[in-house]
Amino acid sequence: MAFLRLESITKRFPGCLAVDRLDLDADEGDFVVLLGPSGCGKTTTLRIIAGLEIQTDGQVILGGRDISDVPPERRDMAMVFQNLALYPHMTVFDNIAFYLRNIRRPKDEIRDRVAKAANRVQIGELLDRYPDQLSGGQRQRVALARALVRSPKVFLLDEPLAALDAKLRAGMRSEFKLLHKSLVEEAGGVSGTFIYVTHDQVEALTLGTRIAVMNEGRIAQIASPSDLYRRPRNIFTATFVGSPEMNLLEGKLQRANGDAVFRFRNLEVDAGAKGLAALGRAKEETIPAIMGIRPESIHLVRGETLKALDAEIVTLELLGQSNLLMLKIDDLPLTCLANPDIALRENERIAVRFEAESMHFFDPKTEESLLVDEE
Amino acid sequence: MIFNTISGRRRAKKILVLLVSIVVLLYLLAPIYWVVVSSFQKEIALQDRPPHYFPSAEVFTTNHYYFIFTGVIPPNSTIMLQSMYTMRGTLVYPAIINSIIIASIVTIINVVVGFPAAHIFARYRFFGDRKVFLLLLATRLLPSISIVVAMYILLLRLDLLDTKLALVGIYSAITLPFTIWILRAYFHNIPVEFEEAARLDGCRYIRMMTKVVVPLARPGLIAAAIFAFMASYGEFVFATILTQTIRSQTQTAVLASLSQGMSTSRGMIAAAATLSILPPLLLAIVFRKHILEGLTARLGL
Amino acid sequence: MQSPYERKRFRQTSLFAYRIILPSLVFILFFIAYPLLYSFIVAFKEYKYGVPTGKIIWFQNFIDIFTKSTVAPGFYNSLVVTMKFTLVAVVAVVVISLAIALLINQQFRGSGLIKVALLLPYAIPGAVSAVIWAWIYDPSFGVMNGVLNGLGIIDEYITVAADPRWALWAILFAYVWKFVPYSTFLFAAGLATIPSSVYEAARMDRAGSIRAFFKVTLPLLRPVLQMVLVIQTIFALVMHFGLVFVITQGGPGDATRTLAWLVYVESFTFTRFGRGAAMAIILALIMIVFIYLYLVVLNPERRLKRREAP
Repeated sequence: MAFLRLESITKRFPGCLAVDRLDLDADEGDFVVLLGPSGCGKTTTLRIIAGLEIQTDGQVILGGRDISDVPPERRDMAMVFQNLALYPHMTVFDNIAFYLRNIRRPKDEIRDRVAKAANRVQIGELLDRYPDQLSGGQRQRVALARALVRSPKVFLLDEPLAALDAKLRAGMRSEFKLLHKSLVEEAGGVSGTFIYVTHDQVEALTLGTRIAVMNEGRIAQIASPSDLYRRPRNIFTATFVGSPEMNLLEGKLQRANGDAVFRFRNLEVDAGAKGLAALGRAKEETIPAIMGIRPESIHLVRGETLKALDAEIVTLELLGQSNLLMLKIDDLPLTCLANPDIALRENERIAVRFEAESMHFFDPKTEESLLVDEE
Repeated sequence: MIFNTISGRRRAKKILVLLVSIVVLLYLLAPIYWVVVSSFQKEIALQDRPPHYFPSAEVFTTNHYYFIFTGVIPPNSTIMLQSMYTMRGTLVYPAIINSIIIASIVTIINVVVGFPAAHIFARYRFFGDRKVFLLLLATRLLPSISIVVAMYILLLRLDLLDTKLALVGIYSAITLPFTIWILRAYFHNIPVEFEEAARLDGCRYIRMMTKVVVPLARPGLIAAAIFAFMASYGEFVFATILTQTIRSQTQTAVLASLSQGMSTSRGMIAAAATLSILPPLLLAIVFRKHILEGLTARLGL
Repeated sequence: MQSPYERKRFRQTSLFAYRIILPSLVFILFFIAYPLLYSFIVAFKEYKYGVPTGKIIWFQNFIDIFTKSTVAPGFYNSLVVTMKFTLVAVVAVVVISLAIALLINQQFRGSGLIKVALLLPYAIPGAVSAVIWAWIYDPSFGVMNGVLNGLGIIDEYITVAADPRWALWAILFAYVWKFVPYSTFLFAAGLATIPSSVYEAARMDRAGSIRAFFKVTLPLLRPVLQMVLVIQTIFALVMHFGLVFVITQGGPGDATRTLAWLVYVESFTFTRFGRGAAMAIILALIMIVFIYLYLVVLNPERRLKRREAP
């Protein structure tokens, strides 16, 4: 049984269902990211785990014990709040030491543990300062140290990087990753569980060992970062994860001469092995489908190539490592990432090819993937 | 024209602002200045026409204060003045002490009882919370003259007329709704995450309140305490109707009755008034930031 | 709608919450609610000093107040005096405090000084300010007479507090002095929230400062203005009591006999507690009517909302 388990958690607020029968398992050493747009219930879920909110239904189970009725101060969980909530009237030292004092640890133990936690996040020299004398990044570290000093069973992090500017955020992100790695290594895999809430997919993909994509109170998909990106289970995950967003085309998947083709408008593209698999699974010759293809899987082809599609470049944005193209194929808008070495102009007509191995197929009604799930 | 250029307009505006400021300052400060100055003037000088706006050394005296504090008619005073010093004047100092004692106890009650109650109203949803809060607000609007008659009869029956205890109870009841009201508004401006963090850091209610909530809400708490103190210190309707002797009389009651005496020394009344306003003025000046913030906290601006 | 979990937690929270607010409630119930209830009982009785139980006469006290030839004229007169005082006091306080708030809002050097100066009348107990003003108004030695005489406005010292033409104005002047600061602080806080960009935009739109005041400042100050009106009306109806007590004792004649003063006289001079309590209830009702008028009738938004949501 998993270390931390949410069983059918439901939270209803007056006039709104925030969390809807949510199940989640997390093991010790796991770094689980709850990823989703604002208002999807991810912060509510975190607060229910912490005990700051009482669920309408379902259980929170920690180490085999139902803790649904245990007040937050006795759950042994540490939380880093979105606004950090550093006590402004306490020094950095007192902030970090507060928990240890509350559980009445001896003075020298407190001193050692605070020093260790502070050094771990490189704020050893700031212990005498007050929070309002610190920079944003330093405050971030203090909040982290406050959680680390406890070695809690569960670390809860609610958008901890949201308040930082883009540059600092990238730096802290990699530090989080290193920190988690070293904690797990030191503890031999039995360190606390991390639950991390964010709406930023880059944070989710870089930090999480497992990512739970949430939408309207439910988990749309829970998977490793690479699976999430390569094998989205539904349209929500497919479009929410990945930037620029995945292109979606509505049409039909058909068998033709033993191969699969995807027809949309009066155009046709090769659907490859994935198309065949979807057809095989449905046991039909032709099925309605939504085809999804990521911008980087649309390739420009020079000259007349077989099965290439005719497209027009509407706009062109230079992103540095690649060019972002807004294309129009028969009036359908598509985005495409192109090699910056290819010289292109706006309004130029070009030929493009869809990479068949990178296509995704979804049922237009249920919006679920038509491919066999590999889990 | 002066108003057609930016610099001209600015100069005209500056002069206007200066003039209006002087008028406003005079209006606000002159009455206080005059009562303080009067309290240090010889009774005979107070009758001079025109009055001594800026008294010279020959009209200066501390006799009025001397009498108030000692009850001894200063040997150097005139026969006329001797008859004008009524013994009621000696009640001023004990009455101020009464007022301070009563107001201090009321303030402590407000802090100990009202502060946690305000926190509850700000942070928790519970059975009947809105109704109880509205009830509290409604009592704020009730004119004290409307219940003083009934209060008099009740206290008469309970044999609590003319006691400090009765005033402490009444003033607590009057000030608590206000304290709860402004502190609740104050809490709404403090993120709840500090308290949640304290919870997760292992604090139970009492420790969370003392270690986190009180320090965070301290400016608001100070403001609320000062409002409670000033309201109790200066209350007049209950004080004058429900007290009879110096056992419980507050400075407002003594001062009002003192000023009724037609032939009472005006200098002594001025000295009594000066002494009476000293405590709240000191508080107001020392804690002016807290008061100004507190006064506008519940605007929710 | 709620699950057993939530119900249990709600019950626990409620129990806990009432344990904390109970002491406050006890004070208020015993020292405000109970006397208030009791004053209704007293108002229904022929309750005089020395007749401690009193005979229940139901609405006779109220009927007497409105119709009895020895009571009603004095009562109606007190209503007129109260209304006159309240109207003038509220308008004066609002206009003067708004003007001072606009002055402070200029943020010039010395505006801090005015703020501190405002705190002084605010902090001085009302009854003590009454003593101060009584001393200023003193017919023989008062500094007001001295100043007016020195300026050549009057030839002989006058007795404002004992002159039926001036007595109410004397009370009013002292009242305004005491209560302007509080409203000024509220207005100043309201003005401080109006961003200067709004004024800059108004200037670019060629609105003069007077036009900007009426078209920009006042509408944005509306919530504060409304609050000041409510508070000042409540104050003006009763907070003059100390001033009347010290400066005029309701006189001369009935020139300053307001309803609040009449309650006091009926109850404690003539010891007709029953009738006094009845008058006190009428005073409270007047106050409720005023608050209702301000909050509901004068507030078009609330009226709109009501119409939309039947």
